[in-house]
Amino acid sequence: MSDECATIRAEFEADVQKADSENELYQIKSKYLGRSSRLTAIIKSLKTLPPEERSATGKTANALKVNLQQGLDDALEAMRQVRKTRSITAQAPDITLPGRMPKLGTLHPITIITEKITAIFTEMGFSIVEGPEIELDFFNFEALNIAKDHPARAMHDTFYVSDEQLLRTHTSPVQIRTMQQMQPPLRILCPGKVYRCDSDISHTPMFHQIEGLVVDTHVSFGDLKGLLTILLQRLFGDQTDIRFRPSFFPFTEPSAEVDIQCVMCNGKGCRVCSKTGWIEILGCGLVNPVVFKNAGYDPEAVSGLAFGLGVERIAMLTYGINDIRLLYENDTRFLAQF
Amino acid sequence: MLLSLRWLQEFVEVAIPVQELAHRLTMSGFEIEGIDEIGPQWDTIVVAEVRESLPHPNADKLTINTVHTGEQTLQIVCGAPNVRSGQKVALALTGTVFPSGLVIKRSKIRGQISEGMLCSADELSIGEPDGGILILDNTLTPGTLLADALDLRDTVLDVGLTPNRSDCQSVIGMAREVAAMLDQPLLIPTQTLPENGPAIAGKIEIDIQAPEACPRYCAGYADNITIEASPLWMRQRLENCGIRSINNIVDITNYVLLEWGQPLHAFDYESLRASKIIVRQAENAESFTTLDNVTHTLPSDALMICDAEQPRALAGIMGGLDSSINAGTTTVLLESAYFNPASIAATGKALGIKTEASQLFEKGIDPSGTLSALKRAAALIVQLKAGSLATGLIDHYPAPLPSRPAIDVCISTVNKKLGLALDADVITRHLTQLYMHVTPTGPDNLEITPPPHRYDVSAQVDIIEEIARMNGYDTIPVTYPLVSLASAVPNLARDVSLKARNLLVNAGFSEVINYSFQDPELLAALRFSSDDDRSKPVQLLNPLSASQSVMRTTILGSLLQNLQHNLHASRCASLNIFEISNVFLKTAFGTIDEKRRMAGLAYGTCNTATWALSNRSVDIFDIKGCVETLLRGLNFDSCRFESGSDEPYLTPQTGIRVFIGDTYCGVCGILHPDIAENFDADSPVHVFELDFNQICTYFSEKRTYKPFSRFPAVQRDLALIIDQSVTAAEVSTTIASFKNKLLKQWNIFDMYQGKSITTGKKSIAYRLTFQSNERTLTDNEVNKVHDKLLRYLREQLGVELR
Repeated sequence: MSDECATIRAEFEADVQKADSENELYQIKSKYLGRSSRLTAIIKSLKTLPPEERSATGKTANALKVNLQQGLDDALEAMRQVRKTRSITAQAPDITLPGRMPKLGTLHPITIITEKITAIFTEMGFSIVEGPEIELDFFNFEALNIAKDHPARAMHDTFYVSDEQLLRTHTSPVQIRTMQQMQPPLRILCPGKVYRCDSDISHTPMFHQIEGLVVDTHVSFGDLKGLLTILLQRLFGDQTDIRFRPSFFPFTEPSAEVDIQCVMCNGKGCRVCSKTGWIEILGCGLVNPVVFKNAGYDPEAVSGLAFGLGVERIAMLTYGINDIRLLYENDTRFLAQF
Repeated sequence: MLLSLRWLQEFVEVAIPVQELAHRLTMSGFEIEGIDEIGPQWDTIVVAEVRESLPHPNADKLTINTVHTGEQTLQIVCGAPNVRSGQKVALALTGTVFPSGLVIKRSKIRGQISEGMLCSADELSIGEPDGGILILDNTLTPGTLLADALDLRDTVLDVGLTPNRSDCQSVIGMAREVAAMLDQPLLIPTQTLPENGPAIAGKIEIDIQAPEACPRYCAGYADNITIEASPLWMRQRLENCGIRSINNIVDITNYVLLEWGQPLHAFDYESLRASKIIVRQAENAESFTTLDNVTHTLPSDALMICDAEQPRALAGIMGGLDSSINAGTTTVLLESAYFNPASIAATGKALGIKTEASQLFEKGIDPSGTLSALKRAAALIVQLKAGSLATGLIDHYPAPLPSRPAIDVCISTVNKKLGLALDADVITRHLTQLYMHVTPTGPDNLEITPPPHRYDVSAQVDIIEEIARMNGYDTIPVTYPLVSLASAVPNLARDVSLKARNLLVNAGFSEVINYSFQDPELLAALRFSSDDDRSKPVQLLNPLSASQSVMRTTILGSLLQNLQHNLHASRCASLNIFEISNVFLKTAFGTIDEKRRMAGLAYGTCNTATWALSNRSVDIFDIKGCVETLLRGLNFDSCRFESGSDEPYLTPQTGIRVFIGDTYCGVCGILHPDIAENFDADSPVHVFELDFNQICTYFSEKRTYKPFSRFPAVQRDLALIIDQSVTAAEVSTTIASFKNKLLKQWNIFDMYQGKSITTGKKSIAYRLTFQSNERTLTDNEVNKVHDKLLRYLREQLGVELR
């Protein structure tokens, strides 16, 4: 009987060896372990054997059964592995092909820079305030200490829509409107479009300004320097050198113009900075008491600082844009770069 | 303003290099925008002596000259008629490049070697063409560089003067600042004039009839005038400062203007009737011809300089044609006056004239300098030997203007505002250097009287600025504002617009920004009817050009322009752009409404050509889907669409009105093909424009969680055949009205008409989702609802199962 078992095993192993699909292995399973297999017949015949043979044969047959079952499982597992490997190899994609990119648009660089700057100030508790683009002469000029015959009006080539209405030349009128509505202390930032009759390689008749205003009881020129140092170092890097030099604006006094070390040449002098190593970046000053008076604040009780910057200029410096007109041409070859 | 360094140095010693001077001026409020070295352009031109001048063997009009430069002897061929042996001339050596681009090379002229060029005054840019070469002073040493020989070297600073500092719009004005800055004395030489001429009193009579408009009037007289060119040094100085040389008398008035900031006027004395000057205001509609030969009708308060009979000059603005200096002038009357700034400004504005002089008078000049400037001009007449002075000058100044009002300054306020700790001594020193008179009035107080030329200083804050400037802005330590913590005021519109921008960018649209003004043609192209507010834009009174003359009433025109630009510039295959900006509408009350709009445009293919995606064209459902994504992204679950829009720029049948709840908030659709064609688009242009203000009004961040079923969902497809006239929206609405709580969702997944579908019918296929909140559904339950729904749709819409 053990001979018979040895034969079954040898044949089984030969068959398994020959099989080259899982299906064949299942057929082998039914052939050797199925109901009508020889091994099943042997096990069924055990009860007919004399008791002295029954135990030994039973042991042999059962061992064979476990053995065949194990051999089959192993062969199946090996076959599955081969199949997976084959299929992975067969289906391997050319992963150098470009991916499917969801189509994304871009924000305009003016928006990106505006958001960057407003974020710096909202972090410091500034409110963002906006106002009309068509303004009254009063808010754009008179309240800001620029009377009709004031020489500073020449600095603002103004578009008019009527005798009293104009396209605002700066966002400063928003400061007046805000002061008329809110009591100090005040921390506001006014971004928006402004307009001047000027059009050449460095001027567009419409551009974007961001102005800031802080009004409190004891704001000093030193504070102005501090606040703008924060802004400019956040925008251009912690190591950026900054200088303040005297200037003139009717609505601030003392007034200053702020230069940063040229970002193109690191202050060595180049075409962008006209070989000076410095780039003019914004105008600022302490709020002129006349402006407080015009806005209904007591100039004795409060002091304030104000600043204004051109977004185009910051965008051009940040991205190395050499012609301001690119910002308004809206060419996709330009827009796609931001 | 152009400032000659050598001229400046006549009035103040500058011992520092020019770069440092420029830096210090910039840091004290006088931005130096450029530094121009005068002289290097002549550095290859030397004084040469003509040793021999012989006729050219092959040319009648040429000479062959042997010239000596001290080091070498050169042969030069020259065409000028005035070359003589023994002369000193200006020789351009080989390698010289003239401003005209002419390069001097060793060359052969008609067979003769020429090793340079003898120059004329105009070739050297130091004189007018006179038909010959420049003959130099015979005492000059050959070989000397021309710039040194003629003393042409200078440095010109371009000073960016701020409008408040018109007192510095002169050499002496700047010298005052530089003296203060460098702590040097201001050196103004006293002028002594010859007194051998006849007394001026007999020559002219001055009658000021408008003393308020003309508080001070000074005059000088000179005869035996020879009108000729000014000497080279004067011409050079004027030209270096941007003033064209005219003749000696005019040049003298301009020279004094540049030096003192005092406009002078020179009359041709012979043309003045009865030797009289009357200063009065214009009478009714008087007319007057200025020296630019324009005749003006004068406003009644215009200040006029007249003789006994008629007006001769528009005071402080421009002289008259008949009394101006001309080649035949032999006698001049020089005028130096102080006119009331407001009077000059009013007349200038009324007549629309702006001159260098009028602008100075308008800003205010120093009334104490009127006579000094005139003296300087008189002295120059003598120095240039241009004529003979009468003895004495007239100074009509009956009521001297009061000194400027004193200003109280509180030292602690100064320090508090600046963030400095200066004491009274330092402040006094700074201000005294600026010619301010400082009187202590208390331990913490000073009384400051500004000098007459400082019109810009009238309040404490002006003094604070001067102190900061003199002490140096860089000495003020950086501090940070101390503020009480307070919440920022929320700005919903800004938040929503940023959110919308990001949603659109994620939907593949790029942001554009266009000018708010545009061409009225662009608006007309959109075909708004005449009763539409958008057809009546706000006009600019002074546009830069017709193409930027009206304020836009819609953003769409700008987007179409962007499309056209990109089609032309790069033949783009697709374009997806949007803009969020204000438009400007005139209201019925004549006011202007600024409204924010959000508009977009989609054109061309859906995707850039790639192996992995289909390259179909954008269609109406892309733009509709984009609008829905945008609105849903902004939390508007209640957004909905209605077919049909009467926007004149849309293709009929493609307009879709967009609603939030019941509020109309914009439109999307396909641009009318005729309009698209105008913008060179050859496939459909899809657009949307939404009312951003409405969107903000209804915007809410509020969201409420709705529990979802955790039991399995069952999906069934339902393909229906219906009449073509029945819209998808009708079918969907009908399904919604079926109201069975197990039917959770119904999405259209296929739409078909054509083969195998009866003509006039279409197939529309829904994927239905059934789900219970309480249990797992059995097939039987689902089948029941499904069949019931089909029956319902048959009754309601007459559908058939496909």
